[in-house]
Amino acid sequence: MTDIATVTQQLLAQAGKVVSGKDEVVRLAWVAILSDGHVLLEDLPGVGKTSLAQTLGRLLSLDYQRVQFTSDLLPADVIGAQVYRRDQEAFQFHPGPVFTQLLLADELNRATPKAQSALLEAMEEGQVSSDGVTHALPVPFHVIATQNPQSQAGTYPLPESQLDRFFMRLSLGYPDLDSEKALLSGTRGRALLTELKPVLTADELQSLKADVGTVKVSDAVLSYVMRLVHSSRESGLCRLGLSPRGALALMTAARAMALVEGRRYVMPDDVQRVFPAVAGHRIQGQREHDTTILVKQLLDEVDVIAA
Amino acid sequence: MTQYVPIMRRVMPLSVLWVLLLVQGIMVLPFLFYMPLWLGAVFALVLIWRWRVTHGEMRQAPRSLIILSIMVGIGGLLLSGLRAYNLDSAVALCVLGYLLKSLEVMRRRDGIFQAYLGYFLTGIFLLYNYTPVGALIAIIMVLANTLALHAVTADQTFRWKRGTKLSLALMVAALPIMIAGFLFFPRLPPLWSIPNDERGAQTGMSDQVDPGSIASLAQSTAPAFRVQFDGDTPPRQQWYWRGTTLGEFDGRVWRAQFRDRNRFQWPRGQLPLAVSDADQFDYSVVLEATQQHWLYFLDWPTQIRGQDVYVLPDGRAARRNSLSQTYRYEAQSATSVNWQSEAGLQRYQRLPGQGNEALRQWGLELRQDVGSDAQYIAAILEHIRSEPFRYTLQPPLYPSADSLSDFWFDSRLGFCSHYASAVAYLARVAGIPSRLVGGYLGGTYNQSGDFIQVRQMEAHAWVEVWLNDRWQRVDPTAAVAPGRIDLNLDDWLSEDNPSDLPFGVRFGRNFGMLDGLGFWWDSVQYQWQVTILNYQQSNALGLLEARFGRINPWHAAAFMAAFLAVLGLLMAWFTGLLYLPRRSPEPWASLGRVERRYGARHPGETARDYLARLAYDYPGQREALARLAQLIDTLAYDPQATLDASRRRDLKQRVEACLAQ
Amino acid sequence: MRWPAPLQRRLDAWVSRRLPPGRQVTLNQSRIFIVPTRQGLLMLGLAMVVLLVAINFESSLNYALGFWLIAMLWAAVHLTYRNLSGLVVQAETAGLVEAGENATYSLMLSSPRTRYRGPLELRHEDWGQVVVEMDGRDTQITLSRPTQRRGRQSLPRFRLESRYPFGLVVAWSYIKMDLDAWAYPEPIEQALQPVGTEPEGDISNDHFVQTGTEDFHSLREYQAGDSVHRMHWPSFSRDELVVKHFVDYQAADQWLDWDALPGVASELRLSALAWHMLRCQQQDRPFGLRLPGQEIIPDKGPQHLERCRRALAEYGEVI
Repeated sequence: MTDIATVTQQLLAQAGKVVSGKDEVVRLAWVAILSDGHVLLEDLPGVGKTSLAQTLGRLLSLDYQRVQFTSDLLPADVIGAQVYRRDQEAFQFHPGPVFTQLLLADELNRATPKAQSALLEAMEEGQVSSDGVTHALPVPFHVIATQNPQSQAGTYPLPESQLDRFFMRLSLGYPDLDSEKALLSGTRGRALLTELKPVLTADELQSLKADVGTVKVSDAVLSYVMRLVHSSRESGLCRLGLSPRGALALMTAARAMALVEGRRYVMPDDVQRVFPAVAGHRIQGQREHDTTILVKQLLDEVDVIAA
Repeated sequence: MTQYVPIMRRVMPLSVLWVLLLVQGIMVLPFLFYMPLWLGAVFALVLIWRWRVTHGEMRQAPRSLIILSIMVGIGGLLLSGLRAYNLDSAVALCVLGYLLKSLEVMRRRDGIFQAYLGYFLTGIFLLYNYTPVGALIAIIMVLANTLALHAVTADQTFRWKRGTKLSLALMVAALPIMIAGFLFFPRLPPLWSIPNDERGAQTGMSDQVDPGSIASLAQSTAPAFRVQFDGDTPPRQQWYWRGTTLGEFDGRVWRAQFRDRNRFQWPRGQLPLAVSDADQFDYSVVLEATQQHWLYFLDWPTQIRGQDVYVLPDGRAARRNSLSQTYRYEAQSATSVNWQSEAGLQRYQRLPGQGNEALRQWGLELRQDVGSDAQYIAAILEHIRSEPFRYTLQPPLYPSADSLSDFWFDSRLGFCSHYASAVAYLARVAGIPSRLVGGYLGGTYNQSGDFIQVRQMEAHAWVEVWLNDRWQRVDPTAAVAPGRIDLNLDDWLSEDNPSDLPFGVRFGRNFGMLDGLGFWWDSVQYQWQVTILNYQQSNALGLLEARFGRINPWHAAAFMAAFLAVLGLLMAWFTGLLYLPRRSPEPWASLGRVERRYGARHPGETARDYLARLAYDYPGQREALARLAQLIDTLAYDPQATLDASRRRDLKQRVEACLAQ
Repeated sequence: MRWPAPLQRRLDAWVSRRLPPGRQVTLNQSRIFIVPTRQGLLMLGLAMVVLLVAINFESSLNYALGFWLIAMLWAAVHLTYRNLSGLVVQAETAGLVEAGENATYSLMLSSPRTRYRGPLELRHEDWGQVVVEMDGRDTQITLSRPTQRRGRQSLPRFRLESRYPFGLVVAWSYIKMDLDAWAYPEPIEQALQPVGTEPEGDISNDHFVQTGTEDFHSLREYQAGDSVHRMHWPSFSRDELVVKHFVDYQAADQWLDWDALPGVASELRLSALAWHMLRCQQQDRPFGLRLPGQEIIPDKGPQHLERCRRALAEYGEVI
């Protein structure tokens, strides 16, 4: 039996060496992986998105692949294609980079919608189809996609319906002063990555994922989640409220968060912690509200303890 | 955009006018049995007018029609011989107004007025008919008026089915409070006396008897009163129910010493009786409303328990107010009593100076022939027995001034009052104090209800004579018709002389199987009278009184105020004007205690965040707050944590640690 | 009922604090007020009279009737409260009208439980009373009130009341919806001054000339695809393939410019712009609108007109 709290400690400690000062983001990403979800990292270039993905892959001993999305990328470049093998005189499927356990999809919004949806379908279904043949993706399969939020020419922003496929949307932000100082003074940078030791085998990860479902949720917490969801739909603040899928994701994430905190039951604090990451990209304001503000408003207004 | 029309001035749609008209019909119909029939004619008039209105002539009735109707109405009132200033005429006027009002019902205000007047008339109706059937009719009336009220409010949206359902819902929902009010509201004495309260005719024994008056009572099968014995029931032959004692004779009419007219001279006091070693009986009587004052007792009464009762010295009792409702009292009787020497005996020897000379002569001669007063009485009865006297319900009228002589010597046809009158007269001729007693003889035992029902038909008169220092009952009817003593009048007559019986009685007797139903219905009515009509709030307050002592008017007022206050609070709470602090379960109650001390939690703050904020603001309490936060979280969200006694104690301690400065 | 002014102000302030506006208002305990009506008080009086009859005539059944009437008044509170409780009022849309016309607002009444709620009355002095029968389904209501001036026309706080089913009590709530209609200025004629930046030019500059069907313009050489109907047959006889060329004249985009009305008060400027818009629309000419800080590129059609009118209505208002 792997003690999840210890594992989390180790994970955070190790990751801190590479992406320092970002414990909470690492923890949320860890929660997302425990919940069997995919992560969308929305950030400026050069704040360490790739490092985070690589670190996670290494610490969780997951196969790691990276695809740089560009506007000329074709779906086949992601999922693979049938290739004619002359020696065997037959077409054979040549698997693309998607056949891995942890895929970093860099700058997803630069690719054409066609290429984007190829990846998103793979994420949704856990399998890819090529020329009518279905190929199962490895288990576990996680995608960490990054996206540059600055509206730039030549990008295809992900439509709302596609955003829902991502379990969480995270953002690293600039490092704080101390971390940046350490970063600048340090010499080794990414070289550290190779020194990281896995804290978990892939099998152990799978068994931990199974544990998430066993975390208890009391009626009080359930009704709090219901109120949050209901309020996002009905308060008039939001044009688009949280979908049932979003609500389910919120519940799963809160469970995983409780587990990460070493508890077998969920508290409203867990819900509040995961809420911005899980709900932020699934709701939309009445006008051009910043959803961050909207999310905060929802958390502030909905009474945690039932009236 | 429409001009705002004040609600009461809005014109009602046709459908609602129809409802109102129907309700009016329902309301007036039961009154027709009590009111002069011409009111029906007025209703027909109104109906015709309304018909025109509902068929397109939407306008007020012309003034001339209204004046005509009022004149017809008042003329009818005068013609039907209702006296001014009595309840009947007031009610008739009220019903008339109710009918005529609808000539101009057009706007909501009028409709509501009609419904309210309808409620009031329901109350009036209950003064006339307070049987279970009457109550049922009243319920229908209330329903009808509630429906009318609903129709007026619902306006265009009125639907029969929905309206009836809502009206019933309102009435049913109101029942609990209605019952509480009924049970606990103190029954106050009347605030003022009602002049000439003559709803329907007086029934029962009057305080004056002329020879024919009892025979008319004998035509009626209506119940007079019901008696329930507590313990032994006396034998059938002793069911002499005593009501009025008539001691003054003017040659034709016997009158009571204490009458309705001289109520203010009535003495107060105890029955001047002492019980001898005879059998005693305890019983309660439920007397139908007679509009008179006289209470009935088994011969001889020794005790009476009832409210506002005068005990009169001639062996009877009366109620101060006339009996406008059924009245229940408890009494005790004995088969024989010891009379103290009576002071005013000469009052019972007085005779008018003239009239009935022949009978007087006959009496005096007879007295000289026999040895004693007792033998004299016996000889009179023997005379009745031996001569061809006949007992009949249809005696001749005896209109002359010598009516007793005519009866005694010529036709010899008479009813109990004739015989009693003649015998009492003969006794006085011989100087024996004597008087007539009016009351009832017999009754029917109701098995299912365990009570004796006495009908008006059992009305009877007999004689009392003062012999051997005591009043003795002499019933000449026993001499002329011995069977009457053992049988009720109708039973006796149907054996002996069926043609004397009123048709209705004869007809009813031929359906033996209906008897069971009749008995059942009698007992239902008895229960109704005992439990509902004669309900005294003391029944429910008895328990309270037993606990808190006698309840005086102040207590009652305080109780009423408290009752209304509770009602008001309930209402305020329900309507959201008043918030009851809700008792929250642990651990929220504990959190609430902390909040009251340190300021409220923001809605979006979890308990842990809140306590952490407090810990930041009050560093001295950091430890205690953290300990509390941990426990609260566990108790609130861990489904496996149960709040047992020790946890509860722990929680309490931790909260107090936080609150301690 | 009117109260003295200071009291009325405080009352208003209290009501708006207690009943804050929103796009959607759910009526609950804290929003619904309920009191007996005059009719209800009369019922109480009637009950007292019946009790008096009961006392004086010692009539037990009249006691019962009297208390029944009182209790019915009490029970009516529940029935009437039910009509409003849980009712959801939702702001839908509000119109764009000319100042001085009636602005319309559309609201949606819905309730989570399908219960018949009887006729509800929406009252405000601007529209008198609007009665709507609420039978559990979603019900749309349109309110209409006159506009006095250009600009935002908020739906005023109105009273929603129910006396159903017996009129004995009245339950009501004051409802302030976050719903604005807009009134664009009344068109007033006023000549536009040419604006300096606009290029001066002759008629040919002023007009678009584009291929069309209306006016004959010139002859030109045949190109593959030209219609046979437009062949210039006389030239054909001379062995020249020439077609007739038709054009439509179209006015250049007219810019309706705020600055084209120098020295005019701003409300009047807006009115003038509205007038020119209407004229352009009637003549079916495209036009654009320039307001300080806002520009709507030339176009035509009812939607465009609507958009420009909206811009005029919103001008200077905080949105």
